[in-house]
Amino acid sequence: MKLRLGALILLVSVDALAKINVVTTLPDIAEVVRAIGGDHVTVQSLLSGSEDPHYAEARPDFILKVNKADVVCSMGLDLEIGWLPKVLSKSGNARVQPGGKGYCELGRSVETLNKPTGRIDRSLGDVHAHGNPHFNLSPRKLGESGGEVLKVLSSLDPANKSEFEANYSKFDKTMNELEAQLKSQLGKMTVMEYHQEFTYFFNAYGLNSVGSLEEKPGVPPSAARIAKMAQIAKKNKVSVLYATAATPHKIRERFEELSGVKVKTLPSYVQSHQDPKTIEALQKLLVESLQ
Amino acid sequence: MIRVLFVLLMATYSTATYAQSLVQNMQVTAALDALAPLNFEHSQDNKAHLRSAELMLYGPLDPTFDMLLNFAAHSEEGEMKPEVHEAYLSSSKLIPSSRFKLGKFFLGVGRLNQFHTHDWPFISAPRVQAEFLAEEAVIDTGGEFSFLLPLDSYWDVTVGITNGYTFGSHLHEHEEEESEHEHENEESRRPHVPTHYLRVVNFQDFGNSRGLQWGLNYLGRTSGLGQQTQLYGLDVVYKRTSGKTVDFLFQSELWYRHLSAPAEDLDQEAGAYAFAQWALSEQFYAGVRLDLFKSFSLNFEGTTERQDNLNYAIVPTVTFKNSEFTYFRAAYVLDTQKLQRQSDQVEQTLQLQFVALLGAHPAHSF
Repeated sequence: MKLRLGALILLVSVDALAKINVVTTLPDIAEVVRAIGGDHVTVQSLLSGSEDPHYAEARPDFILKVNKADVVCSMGLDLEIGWLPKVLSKSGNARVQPGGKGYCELGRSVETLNKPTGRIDRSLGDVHAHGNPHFNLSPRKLGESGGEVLKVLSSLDPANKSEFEANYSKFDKTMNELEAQLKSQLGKMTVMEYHQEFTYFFNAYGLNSVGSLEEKPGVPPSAARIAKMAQIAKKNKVSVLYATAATPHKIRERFEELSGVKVKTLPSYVQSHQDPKTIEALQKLLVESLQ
Repeated sequence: MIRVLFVLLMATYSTATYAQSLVQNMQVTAALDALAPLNFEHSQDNKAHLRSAELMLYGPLDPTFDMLLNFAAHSEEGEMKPEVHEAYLSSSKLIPSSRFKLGKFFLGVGRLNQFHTHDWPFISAPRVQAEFLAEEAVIDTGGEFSFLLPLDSYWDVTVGITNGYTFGSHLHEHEEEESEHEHENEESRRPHVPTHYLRVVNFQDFGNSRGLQWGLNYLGRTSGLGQQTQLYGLDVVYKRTSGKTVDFLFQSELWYRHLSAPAEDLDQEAGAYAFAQWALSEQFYAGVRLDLFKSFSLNFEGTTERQDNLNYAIVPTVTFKNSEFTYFRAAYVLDTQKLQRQSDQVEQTLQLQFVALLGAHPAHSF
């Protein structure tokens, strides 16, 4: 009898120590989950931050990781629409599929920018009906998005809800303080971006953006568009155009040649295998590039 | 059927084009696949045509099950023939680490066989696919069950069984139907052994966005006339991605077919294709495919002496992707049939294709 009771206590203890296995689509989200889940979670990101999360593929190793997950956290807002639904369905894991307790879309808690109005169709390019999904470049928005992580973790592990809440408050405060601190270092500047993935960064720090080089999201700009935006950039004394490594070289060079504006190639996500490896480091890198 | 398609198209047009991602329950995709072949030797075959027009509806039925219904019209000898292409109930939520389909679907064997032609990285079917499976895919009615093995590496196993009354492309099916009438429904008899198949897939991650998937396949069937088909296959896909593009793709399949019948000679054939594609930019891609096909049981006419043979083709292909939803492709096919003691037969074709996808976002399958 004593042996059985001992075994039962041991089982309960092991269960209590079991961590929630969280898989995220991006390293940025992984950091949010680590901050809120603390010691009660193990977290791994499917993407390393160097890929374009919209064009990623439903790789079998992603399916395997999701198969073993208790929670899957994504940016949502259709950013991962091309591959994540396929990964979720092929995982055979009901917990993390839409409707499951471990399904977590951070974008649900975020008030988005560039939300289209009126008729929405693909003649507008790669438009996201719920708004611009690249909110990870605003620390304050990332703080907001942590609300979804808090909900899901608290639902799966109610015994540690108060700890998750405390962690979330701390994380949210840290993000707001980071944004305020970095904002104070920047003056008024006029900037541009290649694709609308730095919009939240510009918005967070009060930078004046004259728009994106892409006329329509996801569609490479025509020669006429590049020329037109180069004129606008010159006229508005744009300091810098932000682009990522995925931006076509020829377009970047042509714009620089026509406008005289420096194009800076910077990461738009936290990186798993190289710097910047944290949200703070990424924000500082972006801010420093303006100074 | 055409009327049904038309009504469905009109009924879904507004939701599909105005706010697709806001449609909460049902996803709608319409796909066009148009071809213009220019055969240098047989100019009578040179006719621009719509290879297929599809309307696919899918989504969750309830918290457990999903459903997919795909209407398609295919060009067969110049005439568009509409049909229910796929129609199945599926779930990946009912049994842990598993998923299944019940209904009519593309059989889950091989690589090309699991994709619609408009999702292939080239225009036409390699001979091995067309001869052993179908011009697009073997479609049949039955059940398919897939499960992930509980291991640290990716091993996915699929088993399936379908009624097996027909096998092969639509054209073959119709030919079989005609043949059935001519031969007093001999072929439409209940198959002695229905179509059954097994596929085992593994994936290797090479880091830096590089990965290789390989699969082993077996498919068997014995027709109502006693003809036994056994197919053994290996498929390989390697991809290296950079940013938003797959900057290098290698895809290959190798199949061996063993046909036997009570009163007929054994027929053994093998075929393969290998396709490599490089991204020249975000929108331009160039690739080349090599096809091989050989019969091990071909005899000189009227003798039992084996005739050496080899059919090979080289297919350079270029693709322009205007977006994820519209692309244009051109390919040149140089097909050579070598038969012992005969002069080579060479056939050249220039092929042009466009593909247009309207509605729900297509899946980025590995």
